[in-house]
Amino acid sequence: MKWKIFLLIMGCLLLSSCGKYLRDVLTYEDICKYIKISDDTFELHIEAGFIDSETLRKLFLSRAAELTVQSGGKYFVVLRDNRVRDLDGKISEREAKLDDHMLEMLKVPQSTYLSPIQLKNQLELSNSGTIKVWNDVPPTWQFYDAALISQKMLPLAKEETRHVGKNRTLPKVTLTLLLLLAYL
Amino acid sequence: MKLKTKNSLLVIVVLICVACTSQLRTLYGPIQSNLKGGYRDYKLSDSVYEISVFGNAHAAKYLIREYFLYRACELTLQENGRYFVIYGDRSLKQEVSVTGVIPVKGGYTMYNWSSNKYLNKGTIKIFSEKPENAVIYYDASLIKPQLEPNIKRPGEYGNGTSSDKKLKN
Repeated sequence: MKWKIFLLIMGCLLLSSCGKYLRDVLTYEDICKYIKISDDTFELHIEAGFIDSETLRKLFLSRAAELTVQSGGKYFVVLRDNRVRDLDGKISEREAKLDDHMLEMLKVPQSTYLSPIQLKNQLELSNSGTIKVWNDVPPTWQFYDAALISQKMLPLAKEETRHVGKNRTLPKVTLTLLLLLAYL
Repeated sequence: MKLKTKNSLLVIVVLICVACTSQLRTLYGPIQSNLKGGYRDYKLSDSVYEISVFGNAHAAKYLIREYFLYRACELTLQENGRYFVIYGDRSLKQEVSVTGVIPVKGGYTMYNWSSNKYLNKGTIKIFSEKPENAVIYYDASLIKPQLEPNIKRPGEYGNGTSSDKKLKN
């Protein structure tokens, strides 16, 4: 009996720390990190737990546009673009519900299933890259209009980070609950 | 010792281990062991260095990138340079997993823990003037102060940035 009470106290302590993680969600700034590497160039790194590649791209371009406007530029060019999809040919039940476009892009069968813990590692997507800010139209056809992206895409991207941040905490909470339930 | 007491002790040990190990991220410094991670660099010529930064299972990919750039800045400023260019810039991932059993009432249950270890590798060339021909170049004096708050050396641990902790959750 003593042990059970002790264990329950331990469990409560652990759960309260998980509760902290639940509240402590990732913000837009946590997900969309950057470093100014020279006067007009930024290195960006966009990464979160559960995120689809479209949201990831949206966040990358939005952050790039935001930095361009903040540094007084009008356009930006993506000099280095590194998009990572760590899928192993497996997919979760949740992921199977995503739209056709997403599935087609990731090229994964819908039959296999992964636990949330495994899913966290398998679906680790990121988009890092380097952008250069321009005041005038850049001497290349592949450039982005920062004002346009900031206006149309940025509000949507910021809204979506709320969901992305929350989901990431789930595996840890699930693991703790499973451990406790397994014993009790 | 009774089986029940043994089981309880095991569960507690596992829970404490899970709680404790979640804070052991790689600290900034030369590599001491694979478990902790760290950086390693070689001087290839007067102004060229090869840098590798190894993360452990608790270090986020971005943290390893920050350590890489920070080491590059340190070497650049040591060599009285200001700019550097990275050649062969690579970020690699290694998956690590641990599987075992925990005794529970009336039997055993399996657990599986897996995580990723990141490595950032590249060769830097140091310049004192702005490199004219490079498309992407890095200004060490501009980058170093930005990264300083996230650099935790052994002995300084405990004030890790909240964003890094969040990224690893």
